[in-house]
Amino acid sequence: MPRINFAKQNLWVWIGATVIVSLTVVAVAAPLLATHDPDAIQLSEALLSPSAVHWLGTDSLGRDLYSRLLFGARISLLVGVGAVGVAILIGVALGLVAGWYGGFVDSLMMRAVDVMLCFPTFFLLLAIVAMVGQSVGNIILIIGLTGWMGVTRLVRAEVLSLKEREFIQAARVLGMRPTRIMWRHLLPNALSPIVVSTTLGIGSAILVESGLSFLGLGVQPPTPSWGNLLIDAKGTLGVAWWQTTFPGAAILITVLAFNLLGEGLRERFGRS
Amino acid sequence: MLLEIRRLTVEFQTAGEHVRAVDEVSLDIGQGEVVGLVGESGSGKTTLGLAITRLVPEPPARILQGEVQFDGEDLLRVPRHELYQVRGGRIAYVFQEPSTSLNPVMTVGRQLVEMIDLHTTSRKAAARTRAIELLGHVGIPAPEERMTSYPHELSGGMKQRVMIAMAIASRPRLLVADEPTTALDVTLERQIVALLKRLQQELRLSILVISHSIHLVKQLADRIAVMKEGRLVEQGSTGQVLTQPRHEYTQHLLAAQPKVAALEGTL
Repeated sequence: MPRINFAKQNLWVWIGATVIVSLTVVAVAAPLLATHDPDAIQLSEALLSPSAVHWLGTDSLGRDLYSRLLFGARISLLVGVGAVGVAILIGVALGLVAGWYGGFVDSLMMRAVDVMLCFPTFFLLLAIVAMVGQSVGNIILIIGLTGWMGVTRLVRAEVLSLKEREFIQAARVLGMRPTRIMWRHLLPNALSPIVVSTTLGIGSAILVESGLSFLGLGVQPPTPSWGNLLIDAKGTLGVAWWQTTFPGAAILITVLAFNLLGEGLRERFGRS
Repeated sequence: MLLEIRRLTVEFQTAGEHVRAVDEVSLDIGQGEVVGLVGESGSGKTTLGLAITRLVPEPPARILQGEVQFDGEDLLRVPRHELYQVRGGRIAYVFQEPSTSLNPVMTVGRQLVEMIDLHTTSRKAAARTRAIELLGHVGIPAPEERMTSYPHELSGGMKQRVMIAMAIASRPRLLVADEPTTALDVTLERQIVALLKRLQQELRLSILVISHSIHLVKQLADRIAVMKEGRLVEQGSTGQVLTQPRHEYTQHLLAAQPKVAALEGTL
Protein backbone atom coordinates (compact mmCIF):
# COMPACT_ATOMS: atom_id res chain seq x y z
CA MET A 1 0.00 0.00 0.00
CA PRO A 2 1.60 3.27 -1.04
CA ARG A 3 2.03 5.63 1.84
CA ILE A 4 0.30 8.90 1.12
CA ASN A 5 2.61 11.84 1.41
CA PHE A 6 0.24 14.62 2.41
CA ALA A 7 2.62 17.47 1.70
CA LYS A 8 2.95 16.52 -1.95
CA GLN A 9 -0.75 15.91 -2.61
CA ASN A 10 -2.01 18.51 -4.97
CA LEU A 11 -4.59 21.09 -4.08
CA TRP A 12 -7.40 19.71 -6.24
CA VAL A 13 -7.45 16.35 -4.49
CA TRP A 14 -7.76 18.15 -1.21
CA ILE A 15 -10.61 20.28 -2.46
CA GLY A 16 -12.36 17.17 -3.76
CA ALA A 17 -11.86 15.29 -0.51
CA THR A 18 -13.00 18.24 1.60
CA VAL A 19 -16.17 18.70 -0.45
CA ILE A 20 -16.99 14.98 -0.20
CA VAL A 21 -16.46 14.91 3.56
CA SER A 22 -18.58 18.05 4.06
CA LEU A 23 -21.32 16.63 1.85
CA THR A 24 -21.35 13.43 3.84
CA VAL A 25 -21.63 15.40 7.09
CA VAL A 26 -24.43 17.51 5.63
CA ALA A 27 -26.28 14.42 4.39
CA VAL A 28 -26.03 12.68 7.75
CA ALA A 29 -26.98 15.79 9.71
CA ALA A 30 -29.75 16.86 7.31
CA PRO A 31 -32.55 16.80 9.94
CA LEU A 32 -30.48 19.06 12.20
CA LEU A 33 -29.47 21.53 9.50
CA ALA A 34 -32.82 21.81 7.73
CA THR A 35 -34.89 24.89 8.49
CA HIS A 36 -38.21 23.42 7.32
CA ASP A 37 -39.89 20.08 6.80
CA PRO A 38 -38.72 19.17 3.29
CA ASP A 39 -42.09 17.72 2.31
CA ALA A 40 -44.36 20.33 3.92
CA ILE A 41 -46.50 21.92 1.23
CA GLN A 42 -47.37 25.58 1.81
CA LEU A 43 -49.13 26.85 -1.30
CA SER A 44 -49.29 30.41 0.04
CA GLU A 45 -45.48 30.50 -0.07
CA ALA A 46 -45.02 29.06 -3.57
CA LEU A 47 -42.17 30.24 -5.77
CA LEU A 48 -40.62 32.66 -3.29
CA SER A 49 -37.11 33.82 -4.20
CA PRO A 50 -34.24 33.28 -1.75
CA SER A 51 -34.74 35.19 1.49
CA ALA A 52 -33.85 35.11 5.18
CA VAL A 53 -36.67 32.62 5.83
CA HIS A 54 -36.28 30.44 2.76
CA TRP A 55 -32.53 30.60 2.15
CA LEU A 56 -32.69 29.10 -1.32
CA GLY A 57 -36.28 29.99 -2.10
CA THR A 58 -39.31 27.70 -2.48
CA ASP A 59 -40.75 25.56 -5.26
CA SER A 60 -44.15 25.71 -6.94
CA LEU A 61 -45.75 23.89 -3.99
CA GLY A 62 -44.15 26.19 -1.44
CA ARG A 63 -41.65 23.63 -0.16
CA ASP A 64 -38.36 24.98 1.22
CA LEU A 65 -35.65 24.34 -1.38
CA TYR A 66 -32.74 24.50 1.08
CA SER A 67 -34.25 21.76 3.24
CA ARG A 68 -35.11 19.66 0.21
CA LEU A 69 -31.58 20.02 -1.11
CA LEU A 70 -30.16 18.76 2.20
CA PHE A 71 -32.40 15.70 2.23
CA GLY A 72 -31.70 15.24 -1.47
CA ALA A 73 -27.99 14.90 -0.65
CA ARG A 74 -28.88 11.84 1.42
CA ILE A 75 -30.66 10.13 -1.44
CA SER A 76 -28.13 11.10 -4.10
CA LEU A 77 -25.10 10.04 -2.07
CA LEU A 78 -26.85 6.85 -0.96
CA VAL A 79 -27.66 5.94 -4.54
CA GLY A 80 -24.13 6.82 -5.69
CA VAL A 81 -22.34 4.82 -3.00
CA GLY A 82 -24.82 1.95 -3.03
CA ALA A 83 -24.83 1.50 -6.80
CA VAL A 84 -21.04 1.56 -6.97
CA GLY A 85 -20.93 -0.87 -4.06
CA VAL A 86 -23.07 -3.32 -6.03
CA ALA A 87 -20.98 -2.81 -9.18
CA ILE A 88 -17.69 -3.25 -7.32
CA LEU A 89 -18.92 -6.40 -5.58
CA ILE A 90 -19.90 -8.04 -8.86
CA GLY A 91 -16.95 -6.67 -10.80
CA VAL A 92 -14.32 -7.69 -8.27
CA ALA A 93 -15.71 -11.22 -7.87
CA LEU A 94 -15.98 -11.84 -11.63
CA GLY A 95 -12.64 -10.17 -12.36
CA LEU A 96 -10.81 -12.26 -9.77
CA VAL A 97 -12.32 -15.50 -11.03
CA ALA A 98 -11.80 -14.69 -14.72
CA GLY A 99 -8.21 -13.56 -14.21
CA TRP A 100 -7.22 -16.40 -11.93
CA TYR A 101 -8.75 -19.35 -13.76
CA GLY A 102 -8.27 -18.06 -17.30
CA GLY A 103 -9.13 -20.32 -20.21
CA PHE A 104 -12.77 -21.13 -20.83
CA VAL A 105 -14.09 -19.46 -17.67
CA ASP A 106 -12.28 -16.27 -18.62
CA SER A 107 -13.56 -16.27 -22.23
CA LEU A 108 -17.12 -16.86 -21.06
CA MET A 109 -17.02 -13.99 -18.57
CA MET A 110 -15.31 -11.58 -20.92
CA ARG A 111 -17.89 -12.30 -23.61
CA ALA A 112 -20.59 -11.59 -21.02
CA VAL A 113 -18.88 -8.25 -20.39
CA ASP A 114 -18.77 -7.54 -24.13
CA VAL A 115 -22.46 -8.32 -24.49
CA MET A 116 -23.36 -6.08 -21.54
CA LEU A 117 -21.30 -3.25 -23.01
CA CYS A 118 -23.25 -3.51 -26.27
CA PHE A 119 -26.45 -2.29 -24.63
CA PRO A 120 -26.92 1.45 -24.58
CA THR A 121 -26.80 1.61 -20.78
CA PHE A 122 -29.19 4.45 -20.25
CA PHE A 123 -31.99 2.91 -22.29
CA LEU A 124 -31.42 -0.42 -20.64
CA LEU A 125 -31.79 1.37 -17.31
CA LEU A 126 -35.01 3.02 -18.44
CA ALA A 127 -36.44 -0.28 -19.58
CA ILE A 128 -35.60 -2.12 -16.37
CA VAL A 129 -36.86 0.69 -14.12
CA ALA A 130 -40.11 0.75 -16.07
CA MET A 131 -40.49 -2.97 -15.40
CA VAL A 132 -39.50 -3.30 -11.73
CA GLY A 133 -40.56 0.03 -10.26
CA GLN A 134 -38.79 3.02 -8.79
CA SER A 135 -37.87 2.39 -5.15
CA VAL A 136 -34.48 3.65 -3.93
CA GLY A 137 -33.35 0.05 -3.46
CA ASN A 138 -34.31 -0.85 -7.02
CA ILE A 139 -32.53 2.18 -8.45
CA ILE A 140 -29.34 1.29 -6.56
CA LEU A 141 -29.48 -2.32 -7.72
CA ILE A 142 -30.18 -1.44 -11.33
CA ILE A 143 -27.44 1.18 -11.66
CA GLY A 144 -25.07 -1.28 -10.00
CA LEU A 145 -26.11 -4.19 -12.21
CA THR A 146 -25.46 -2.18 -15.37
CA GLY A 147 -22.14 -0.73 -14.23
CA TRP A 148 -19.88 -3.63 -13.22
CA MET A 149 -18.20 -4.32 -16.57
CA GLY A 150 -15.42 -1.75 -16.30
CA VAL A 151 -14.44 -2.99 -12.85
CA THR A 152 -14.41 -6.58 -14.05
CA ARG A 153 -11.99 -5.75 -16.84
CA LEU A 154 -9.81 -3.71 -14.53
CA VAL A 155 -9.57 -6.38 -11.84
CA ARG A 156 -9.02 -9.14 -14.40
CA ALA A 157 -6.14 -7.24 -15.98
CA GLU A 158 -4.62 -6.63 -12.58
CA VAL A 159 -4.93 -10.31 -11.62
CA LEU A 160 -3.38 -11.43 -14.91
CA SER A 161 -0.23 -9.48 -14.17
CA LEU A 162 -0.19 -10.25 -10.43
CA LYS A 163 -0.57 -13.98 -10.80
CA GLU A 164 2.78 -14.26 -12.55
CA ARG A 165 4.50 -12.58 -9.61
CA GLU A 166 6.54 -14.86 -7.39
CA PHE A 167 4.64 -14.25 -4.19
CA ILE A 168 1.44 -15.51 -5.76
CA GLN A 169 3.30 -18.55 -7.08
CA ALA A 170 4.76 -18.91 -3.59
CA ALA A 171 1.27 -18.86 -2.09
CA ARG A 172 0.27 -21.76 -4.35
CA VAL A 173 3.41 -23.64 -3.44
CA LEU A 174 2.70 -23.10 0.25
CA GLY A 175 -0.54 -25.00 -0.20
CA MET A 176 -3.08 -22.16 -0.25
CA ARG A 177 -6.42 -22.76 -1.88
CA PRO A 178 -7.41 -20.54 -4.83
CA THR A 179 -10.15 -18.73 -2.88
CA ARG A 180 -7.73 -17.79 -0.13
CA ILE A 181 -5.12 -16.59 -2.61
CA MET A 182 -7.72 -14.48 -4.39
CA TRP A 183 -9.12 -12.74 -1.34
CA ARG A 184 -6.03 -12.46 0.86
CA HIS A 185 -3.25 -11.97 -1.68
CA LEU A 186 -4.59 -10.86 -5.04
CA LEU A 187 -7.32 -8.46 -3.92
CA PRO A 188 -5.23 -6.36 -1.51
CA ASN A 189 -2.59 -5.91 -4.21
CA ALA A 190 -5.18 -4.87 -6.77
CA LEU A 191 -6.79 -2.37 -4.43
CA SER A 192 -5.47 0.92 -5.81
CA PRO A 193 -7.19 0.76 -9.23
CA ILE A 194 -10.36 -0.43 -7.49
CA VAL A 195 -10.31 2.56 -5.15
CA VAL A 196 -9.84 4.91 -8.10
CA SER A 197 -12.67 3.44 -10.12
CA THR A 198 -14.94 3.42 -7.06
CA THR A 199 -14.39 7.12 -6.54
CA LEU A 200 -14.97 7.98 -10.19
CA GLY A 201 -17.93 5.58 -10.31
CA ILE A 202 -19.78 7.29 -7.46
CA GLY A 203 -19.71 10.56 -9.38
CA SER A 204 -21.12 9.03 -12.51
CA ALA A 205 -23.74 7.02 -10.58
CA ILE A 206 -25.01 10.27 -9.04
CA LEU A 207 -25.28 11.70 -12.54
CA VAL A 208 -27.15 8.65 -13.80
CA GLU A 209 -29.59 8.87 -10.89
CA SER A 210 -30.19 12.56 -11.60
CA GLY A 211 -30.79 11.76 -15.25
CA LEU A 212 -33.24 8.98 -14.40
CA SER A 213 -35.07 11.20 -11.92
CA PHE A 214 -35.28 14.01 -14.42
CA LEU A 215 -36.96 11.65 -16.86
CA GLY A 216 -39.38 10.68 -14.12
CA LEU A 217 -37.98 7.18 -13.73
CA GLY A 218 -35.68 7.77 -10.80
CA VAL A 219 -36.48 7.85 -7.13
CA GLN A 220 -40.22 8.25 -6.66
CA PRO A 221 -41.34 11.84 -5.85
CA PRO A 222 -41.92 13.47 -3.44
CA THR A 223 -38.71 11.94 -2.07
CA PRO A 224 -36.26 14.79 -2.71
CA SER A 225 -33.36 13.48 -4.80
CA TRP A 226 -31.40 16.13 -6.67
CA GLY A 227 -32.74 14.90 -9.97
CA ASN A 228 -36.28 15.18 -8.62
CA LEU A 229 -35.67 18.77 -7.59
CA LEU A 230 -34.72 19.53 -11.18
CA ILE A 231 -37.83 17.97 -12.66
CA ASP A 232 -39.98 19.90 -10.19
CA ALA A 233 -38.37 23.04 -11.56
CA LYS A 234 -39.00 22.22 -15.19
CA GLY A 235 -42.35 24.01 -15.43
CA THR A 236 -41.15 27.21 -13.81
CA LEU A 237 -37.78 27.51 -15.49
CA GLY A 238 -38.46 31.04 -16.73
CA VAL A 239 -39.66 32.53 -13.46
CA ALA A 240 -37.77 30.76 -10.69
CA TRP A 241 -34.06 30.56 -11.52
CA TRP A 242 -33.18 29.36 -8.01
CA GLN A 243 -35.14 26.17 -8.46
CA THR A 244 -32.78 24.84 -11.12
CA THR A 245 -29.60 26.66 -10.23
CA PHE A 246 -29.10 25.27 -6.72
CA PRO A 247 -29.81 21.59 -7.35
CA GLY A 248 -27.82 21.83 -10.58
CA ALA A 249 -24.90 23.37 -8.75
CA ALA A 250 -25.12 20.69 -6.06
CA ILE A 251 -24.88 17.93 -8.66
CA LEU A 252 -22.07 19.68 -10.49
CA ILE A 253 -19.99 20.29 -7.36
CA THR A 254 -20.49 16.77 -6.06
CA VAL A 255 -19.63 14.99 -9.29
CA LEU A 256 -16.69 17.33 -9.80
CA ALA A 257 -15.44 16.59 -6.28
CA PHE A 258 -15.55 12.84 -6.85
CA ASN A 259 -13.79 13.21 -10.19
CA LEU A 260 -11.07 15.41 -8.73
CA LEU A 261 -10.45 12.94 -5.93
CA GLY A 262 -10.54 9.96 -8.29
CA GLU A 263 -8.16 11.48 -10.81
CA GLY A 264 -5.86 12.62 -8.03
CA LEU A 265 -5.76 9.13 -6.52
CA ARG A 266 -5.14 7.61 -9.92
CA GLU A 267 -2.14 9.85 -10.44
CA ARG A 268 -0.93 9.16 -6.94
CA PHE A 269 -1.14 5.36 -7.27
CA GLY A 270 0.19 5.47 -10.80
CA ARG A 271 3.35 7.14 -9.67
CA SER A 272 4.22 4.70 -6.90
CA MET B 1 12.71 -44.24 1.41
CA LEU B 2 10.81 -41.02 2.06
CA LEU B 3 10.35 -40.13 -1.60
CA GLU B 4 10.49 -42.49 -4.55
CA ILE B 5 10.07 -40.97 -7.99
CA ARG B 6 9.54 -43.62 -10.67
CA ARG B 7 9.72 -43.05 -14.40
CA LEU B 8 8.18 -39.57 -14.06
CA THR B 9 7.48 -37.93 -17.41
CA VAL B 10 6.24 -34.36 -17.83
CA GLU B 11 5.47 -32.98 -21.25
CA PHE B 12 4.89 -29.37 -22.31
CA GLN B 13 2.69 -28.69 -25.26
CA THR B 14 3.22 -25.36 -27.00
CA ALA B 15 1.91 -24.48 -30.45
CA GLY B 16 1.53 -28.10 -31.48
CA GLU B 17 5.00 -29.00 -30.31
CA HIS B 18 5.55 -31.58 -27.57
CA VAL B 19 8.59 -31.14 -25.38
CA ARG B 20 9.49 -33.62 -22.65
CA ALA B 21 10.80 -31.43 -19.84
CA VAL B 22 11.14 -34.46 -17.58
CA ASP B 23 11.71 -37.77 -19.30
CA GLU B 24 11.35 -41.02 -17.36
CA VAL B 25 13.20 -39.76 -14.31
CA SER B 26 13.57 -42.05 -11.29
CA LEU B 27 15.06 -40.63 -8.10
CA ASP B 28 15.00 -41.61 -4.42
CA ILE B 29 15.43 -39.46 -1.36
CA GLY B 30 15.86 -41.12 2.02
CA GLN B 31 14.79 -39.87 5.43
CA GLY B 32 17.16 -37.06 6.45
CA GLU B 33 19.08 -37.31 3.22
CA VAL B 34 20.17 -34.34 1.11
CA VAL B 35 20.09 -34.92 -2.62
CA GLY B 36 21.51 -32.39 -5.06
CA LEU B 37 20.03 -32.00 -8.50
CA VAL B 38 22.27 -30.18 -10.97
CA GLY B 39 21.96 -29.31 -14.61
CA GLU B 40 22.01 -26.31 -16.89
CA SER B 41 18.95 -24.07 -17.16
CA GLY B 42 16.23 -25.69 -19.20
CA SER B 43 17.29 -29.19 -18.22
CA GLY B 44 13.99 -29.77 -16.42
CA LYS B 45 15.21 -29.73 -12.84
CA THR B 46 12.74 -27.09 -11.64
CA THR B 47 9.87 -28.84 -13.43
CA LEU B 48 10.83 -32.06 -11.65
CA GLY B 49 10.77 -30.29 -8.28
CA LEU B 50 7.34 -28.81 -8.99
CA ALA B 51 5.89 -32.00 -10.47
CA ILE B 52 6.40 -33.82 -7.17
CA THR B 53 3.37 -32.01 -5.76
CA ARG B 54 1.70 -31.48 -9.15
CA LEU B 55 2.52 -27.77 -9.17
CA VAL B 56 3.38 -27.73 -12.86
CA PRO B 57 0.79 -25.65 -14.71
CA GLU B 58 -1.63 -28.02 -16.46
CA PRO B 59 -2.08 -26.99 -19.29
CA PRO B 60 0.40 -26.40 -20.96
CA ALA B 61 2.19 -29.13 -19.01
CA ARG B 62 0.93 -32.68 -18.63
CA ILE B 63 2.20 -35.43 -16.39
CA LEU B 64 2.24 -38.34 -18.80
CA GLN B 65 3.27 -41.21 -16.56
CA GLY B 66 5.15 -42.19 -13.46
CA GLU B 67 4.75 -42.44 -9.72
CA VAL B 68 5.72 -40.15 -6.86
CA GLN B 69 5.60 -42.30 -3.74
CA PHE B 70 5.82 -40.09 -0.68
CA ASP B 71 5.32 -41.54 2.77
CA GLY B 72 3.57 -44.51 1.22
CA GLU B 73 1.11 -42.74 -1.09
CA ASP B 74 1.35 -41.84 -4.75
CA LEU B 75 1.02 -38.05 -4.91
CA LEU B 76 0.13 -38.18 -8.59
CA ARG B 77 -3.01 -40.11 -7.72
CA VAL B 78 -4.31 -38.48 -4.53
CA PRO B 79 -7.30 -36.12 -4.85
CA ARG B 80 -6.50 -32.45 -5.36
CA HIS B 81 -7.70 -31.24 -1.96
CA GLU B 82 -5.20 -33.54 -0.25
CA LEU B 83 -2.42 -31.92 -2.25
CA TYR B 84 -3.18 -28.58 -0.58
CA GLN B 85 -2.20 -30.23 2.69
CA VAL B 86 0.97 -31.72 1.22
CA ARG B 87 2.17 -28.52 -0.46
CA GLY B 88 3.84 -26.33 2.10
CA GLY B 89 2.88 -28.93 4.68
CA ARG B 90 4.83 -32.17 4.47
CA ILE B 91 6.69 -30.96 1.36
CA ALA B 92 7.86 -27.35 1.51
CA TYR B 93 9.57 -25.17 -1.06
CA VAL B 94 12.14 -22.38 -1.07
CA PHE B 95 12.76 -20.50 -4.30
CA GLN B 96 15.32 -18.28 -5.91
CA GLU B 97 13.74 -14.85 -5.67
CA PRO B 98 13.28 -13.93 -2.04
CA SER B 99 12.69 -10.28 -2.93
CA THR B 100 9.47 -10.97 -4.80
CA SER B 101 8.28 -14.11 -3.07
CA LEU B 102 6.67 -12.26 -0.19
CA ASN B 103 3.41 -10.37 -0.50
CA PRO B 104 4.40 -6.67 -0.53
CA VAL B 105 1.25 -5.43 1.23
CA MET B 106 1.34 -7.82 4.20
CA THR B 107 3.71 -7.76 7.16
CA VAL B 108 6.19 -10.58 7.53
CA GLY B 109 4.50 -11.62 10.74
CA ARG B 110 1.03 -11.90 9.22
CA GLN B 111 2.34 -14.01 6.34
CA LEU B 112 4.14 -16.32 8.70
CA VAL B 113 1.12 -16.62 11.01
CA GLU B 114 -1.11 -17.30 7.99
CA MET B 115 1.24 -20.09 6.99
CA ILE B 116 1.15 -21.63 10.47
CA ASP B 117 -2.66 -21.33 10.56
CA LEU B 118 -2.89 -23.07 7.23
CA HIS B 119 -1.00 -26.19 8.19
CA THR B 120 -1.39 -26.59 11.93
CA THR B 121 -4.30 -26.38 14.34
CA SER B 122 -2.65 -24.00 16.78
CA ARG B 123 -4.58 -21.03 18.12
CA LYS B 124 -3.88 -17.43 17.08
CA ALA B 125 -1.75 -16.48 20.08
CA ALA B 126 0.19 -19.73 19.84
CA ALA B 127 0.76 -19.16 16.12
CA ARG B 128 2.23 -15.75 16.86
CA THR B 129 4.58 -17.12 19.47
CA ARG B 130 5.61 -19.86 17.07
CA ALA B 131 6.20 -17.32 14.29
CA ILE B 132 8.55 -15.29 16.47
CA GLU B 133 10.30 -18.50 17.50
CA LEU B 134 10.72 -19.51 13.84
CA LEU B 135 12.17 -16.13 12.87
CA GLY B 136 14.68 -16.46 15.68
CA HIS B 137 15.39 -20.02 14.63
CA VAL B 138 16.41 -19.00 11.10
CA GLY B 139 18.75 -16.37 12.52
CA ILE B 140 16.80 -13.14 12.22
CA PRO B 141 17.88 -10.66 14.88
CA ALA B 142 15.15 -9.04 17.02
CA PRO B 143 12.47 -11.37 15.63
CA GLU B 144 9.66 -9.77 17.63
CA GLU B 145 10.27 -6.39 16.02
CA ARG B 146 10.61 -7.93 12.55
CA MET B 147 7.09 -9.37 12.83
CA THR B 148 5.62 -5.97 11.97
CA SER B 149 8.07 -5.26 9.13
CA TYR B 150 6.97 -5.19 5.52
CA PRO B 151 9.06 -7.19 3.01
CA HIS B 152 10.57 -4.03 1.45
CA GLU B 153 12.07 -3.16 4.82
CA LEU B 154 14.19 -6.33 4.86
CA SER B 155 17.39 -7.16 2.98
CA GLY B 156 17.55 -9.98 0.42
CA GLY B 157 19.24 -12.35 2.85
CA MET B 158 16.67 -11.61 5.54
CA LYS B 159 13.84 -12.22 3.11
CA GLN B 160 15.31 -15.58 2.15
CA ARG B 161 15.50 -16.43 5.86
CA VAL B 162 11.83 -15.48 6.20
CA MET B 163 11.00 -17.74 3.25
CA ILE B 164 12.88 -20.56 4.93
CA ALA B 165 11.04 -19.86 8.18
CA MET B 166 7.74 -20.10 6.28
CA ALA B 167 8.88 -23.32 4.66
CA ILE B 168 9.76 -25.05 7.93
CA ALA B 169 6.74 -23.62 9.80
CA SER B 170 4.72 -26.76 9.11
CA ARG B 171 7.54 -29.12 10.17
CA PRO B 172 7.89 -30.60 6.68
CA ARG B 173 9.53 -33.94 5.95
CA LEU B 174 10.97 -32.79 2.64
CA LEU B 175 12.27 -29.37 1.62
CA VAL B 176 12.69 -28.58 -2.06
CA ALA B 177 15.24 -25.76 -2.30
CA ASP B 178 15.29 -24.50 -5.89
CA GLU B 179 18.29 -22.22 -6.46
CA PRO B 180 18.04 -21.00 -2.84
CA THR B 181 21.12 -18.79 -3.06
CA THR B 182 21.33 -17.78 -6.71
CA ALA B 183 19.93 -14.29 -6.09
CA LEU B 184 22.26 -13.69 -3.15
CA ASP B 185 25.91 -12.71 -2.95
CA VAL B 186 28.67 -15.10 -1.88
CA THR B 187 28.71 -14.13 1.80
CA LEU B 188 24.98 -14.62 2.07
CA GLU B 189 25.22 -17.88 0.15
CA ARG B 190 27.53 -19.23 2.87
CA GLN B 191 25.14 -18.13 5.60
CA ILE B 192 22.11 -19.69 3.91
CA VAL B 193 24.01 -22.93 3.26
CA ALA B 194 25.02 -23.05 6.93
CA LEU B 195 21.41 -22.40 7.95
CA LEU B 196 20.06 -25.16 5.70
CA LYS B 197 22.65 -27.59 7.08
CA ARG B 198 21.74 -26.73 10.65
CA LEU B 199 18.01 -27.06 10.03
CA GLN B 200 18.53 -30.34 8.21
CA GLN B 201 20.26 -31.81 11.24
CA GLU B 202 17.94 -30.32 13.86
CA LEU B 203 14.72 -31.26 12.11
CA ARG B 204 15.94 -34.46 10.42
CA LEU B 205 14.80 -32.84 7.20
CA SER B 206 15.26 -34.38 3.80
CA ILE B 207 16.29 -31.79 1.23
CA LEU B 208 16.21 -31.78 -2.54
CA VAL B 209 18.56 -28.94 -3.46
CA ILE B 210 18.25 -27.86 -7.06
CA SER B 211 20.90 -25.67 -8.68
CA HIS B 212 22.92 -25.04 -11.80
CA SER B 213 25.94 -24.73 -9.52
CA ILE B 214 27.78 -27.88 -8.49
CA HIS B 215 29.72 -25.67 -6.14
CA LEU B 216 26.59 -24.94 -4.11
CA VAL B 217 25.22 -28.46 -4.27
CA LYS B 218 28.39 -30.19 -3.12
CA GLN B 219 28.39 -28.19 0.12
CA LEU B 220 25.06 -29.69 1.11
CA ALA B 221 24.35 -32.93 -0.70
CA ASP B 222 24.99 -36.52 0.32
CA ARG B 223 24.18 -37.60 -3.20
CA ILE B 224 24.17 -35.77 -6.51
CA ALA B 225 21.97 -36.37 -9.54
CA VAL B 226 22.80 -34.78 -12.87
CA MET B 227 20.08 -33.83 -15.31
CA LYS B 228 20.35 -33.03 -19.00
CA GLU B 229 17.53 -32.37 -21.44
CA GLY B 230 14.97 -33.91 -19.13
CA ARG B 231 16.88 -37.10 -18.39
CA LEU B 232 18.91 -38.13 -15.38
CA VAL B 233 22.31 -38.89 -16.84
CA GLU B 234 24.16 -39.72 -13.67
CA GLN B 235 23.64 -40.14 -9.95
CA GLY B 236 25.87 -41.21 -7.13
CA SER B 237 27.41 -40.13 -3.85
CA THR B 238 28.76 -36.58 -3.84
CA GLY B 239 32.38 -37.73 -3.57
CA GLN B 240 32.02 -40.20 -6.38
CA VAL B 241 30.29 -37.79 -8.79
CA LEU B 242 32.84 -35.08 -8.10
CA THR B 243 35.97 -37.20 -8.36
CA GLN B 244 34.98 -39.94 -10.81
CA PRO B 245 32.20 -38.60 -13.00
CA ARG B 246 31.05 -41.36 -15.32
CA HIS B 247 29.06 -39.37 -17.80
CA GLU B 248 30.74 -37.03 -20.23
CA TYR B 249 28.20 -34.28 -19.48
CA THR B 250 29.06 -34.31 -15.77
CA GLN B 251 32.72 -33.88 -16.67
CA HIS B 252 31.75 -30.85 -18.76
CA LEU B 253 29.74 -29.40 -15.87
CA LEU B 254 32.64 -29.88 -13.48
CA ALA B 255 35.08 -28.31 -15.90
CA ALA B 256 32.77 -25.32 -16.24
CA GLN B 257 33.03 -24.48 -12.52
CA PRO B 258 35.46 -21.74 -11.47
CA LYS B 259 38.54 -23.19 -9.78
CA VAL B 260 38.02 -21.58 -6.41
CA ALA B 261 40.76 -23.62 -4.72
CA ALA B 262 43.34 -22.62 -7.32
CA LEU B 263 42.43 -18.96 -6.97
CA GLU B 264 42.60 -19.08 -3.21
CA GLY B 265 46.14 -20.45 -3.49
CA THR B 266 47.31 -17.39 -5.38
CA LEU B 267 45.78 -14.87 -3.03
